Amino acid sequence: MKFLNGASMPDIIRNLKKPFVFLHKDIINESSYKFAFVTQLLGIFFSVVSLYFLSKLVGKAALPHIQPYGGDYLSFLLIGLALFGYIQVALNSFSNCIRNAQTLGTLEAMLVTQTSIPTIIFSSSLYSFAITSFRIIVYLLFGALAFGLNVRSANYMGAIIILFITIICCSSIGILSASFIMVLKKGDPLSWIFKSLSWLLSGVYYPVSILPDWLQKLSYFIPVTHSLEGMRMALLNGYPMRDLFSSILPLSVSTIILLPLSMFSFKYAVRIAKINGSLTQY
Amino acid sequence: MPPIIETSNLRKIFPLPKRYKDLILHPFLKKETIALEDINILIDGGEIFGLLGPNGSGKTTLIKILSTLILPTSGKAFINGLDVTSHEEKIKKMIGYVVSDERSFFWRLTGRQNLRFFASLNNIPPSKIDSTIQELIRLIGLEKEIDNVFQNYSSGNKQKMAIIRGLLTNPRILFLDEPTRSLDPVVTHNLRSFIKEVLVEQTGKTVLIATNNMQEAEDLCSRVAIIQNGKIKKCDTIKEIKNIFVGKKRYVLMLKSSLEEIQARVDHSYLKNKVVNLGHGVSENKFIFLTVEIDMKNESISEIIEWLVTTGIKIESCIHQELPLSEIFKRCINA
Repeated sequence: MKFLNGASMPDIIRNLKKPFVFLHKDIINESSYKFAFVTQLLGIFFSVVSLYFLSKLVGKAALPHIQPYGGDYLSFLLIGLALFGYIQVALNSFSNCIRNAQTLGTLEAMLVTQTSIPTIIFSSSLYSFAITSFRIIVYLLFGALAFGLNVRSANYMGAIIILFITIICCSSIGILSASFIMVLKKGDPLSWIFKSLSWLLSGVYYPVSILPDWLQKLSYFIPVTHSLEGMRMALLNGYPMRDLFSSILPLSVSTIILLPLSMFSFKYAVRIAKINGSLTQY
Repeated sequence: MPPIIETSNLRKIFPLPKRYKDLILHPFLKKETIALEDINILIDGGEIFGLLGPNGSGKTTLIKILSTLILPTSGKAFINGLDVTSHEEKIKKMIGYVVSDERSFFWRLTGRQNLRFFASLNNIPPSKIDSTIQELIRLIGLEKEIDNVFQNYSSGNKQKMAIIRGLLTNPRILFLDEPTRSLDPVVTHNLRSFIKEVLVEQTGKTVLIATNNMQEAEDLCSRVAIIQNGKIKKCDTIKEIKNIFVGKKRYVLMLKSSLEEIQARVDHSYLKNKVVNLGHGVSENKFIFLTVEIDMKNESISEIIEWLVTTGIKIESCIHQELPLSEIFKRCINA
């Protein structure tokens, strides 16, 4: 039985296994740096405690703006930062993987194997997503057990759907940014602009409602604004799916536009790098 | 039988990076360098073909085009009849590219973990990965070190790893880019025997080897293409190339006489233009060594011996000296 591009069933199964081969390799590789692994865990502890004291400082002053999200600033902040952790990985991991493989010298050896470039890039980023998930789970657990982050009445399915679409949407921007890295090697402008605007306007640290009116309008065009809004509504208020639709719709539209665009640009960037002979240069 | 590797008028031009000054003053001016020019080669199945040339001559660029890592500017390249620009996936199944750069491995993984990773990327069924690796490490001789972390490997073992990786898929065609670089003479000898006897004679693989070592080319290759500045200067057997570029035979005569006397006699004879060197030996300083070069076709050493005898100079020995391969290589390049 043949599928897309003439691939047979065993081919498809083999390709589906490849991301896990990369994940396995990266786990062995990263866990060999034991001290770095331990310091990462310690970092989570310090950042959650810092956020707790920050939320105490802000206290009731933030209440009018935080009220639509359950009224607890620490919970608002933890969820915003946790989701932004994923967004950062989606934005940076693809270009980082290319850059790392170019500088380490492993890219050329992988490119001559029977694995396509998109599979190599996607699979190389899997470890970053896995370790971020682990970090965020520890982060939220710590927040819930030590500082009363309350997500008991959350709509988990809604949160997972929003997370999934957010990752695909931001990964598209990440792939666009990887296309820049493929050709320019260093200095990708796209991810920097998107990340900076998202920090400023999408409501990671503060709700969008405190921004001036014109900035609020601008924030509507940033997909991350809808991700954060939807995620907080799903986890902190337990909104049902129909109430999350207003966040899911703009996110999905952005994804439908950005995903094919990113795929096309990446394919084009690889072609340019092959013409310039710079596929493995850095 | 059609050739397994074929290139036709292959050309590759690389853009050169511009300086800031050029970017401002001549933003549309293209700066380029020609890496390959009109490359035409035909390689038969089961042949060891050498790409011989100095550093930067274009050998690696040609191998990378054939490995689908670089797109040619114009011309065609075929692997087993398939165009390298449009059949990337199929070609990758047929070739093994031995990337000699030791950085191409994951240094904190063991040799075996590295090979398992690359075997999976090459679609080797999981049930066969370990047995394939085991067979190759036995064949190449890396059994003791295979479970050590890669960063602790010697240069020779890193090179062996690159070769094992290139052979994981049992490819029909193997591209070797300076495979014996940084290897000691014993490992080099063993590796060359392995390539010739096992890979080609026993299993019938086609090997394309890029090297700047003439000795390696002579030991291994049935034919070579000598490349310089992206152009093929000569494509033939080493023997033929030697015949073309050597042209003369070199003899070293050990003579028993004074240096001044021989010098005076030689200076006034027809031998004057044939002398390459005349002087005392390094260890045998009681003898004089006369090195002469004579035309391969029209002259004979016996004439020189006869002349020396008639002039009363005593000859202790006469040795035919092969022109060093490096010298022949230099002549080819400069031709």
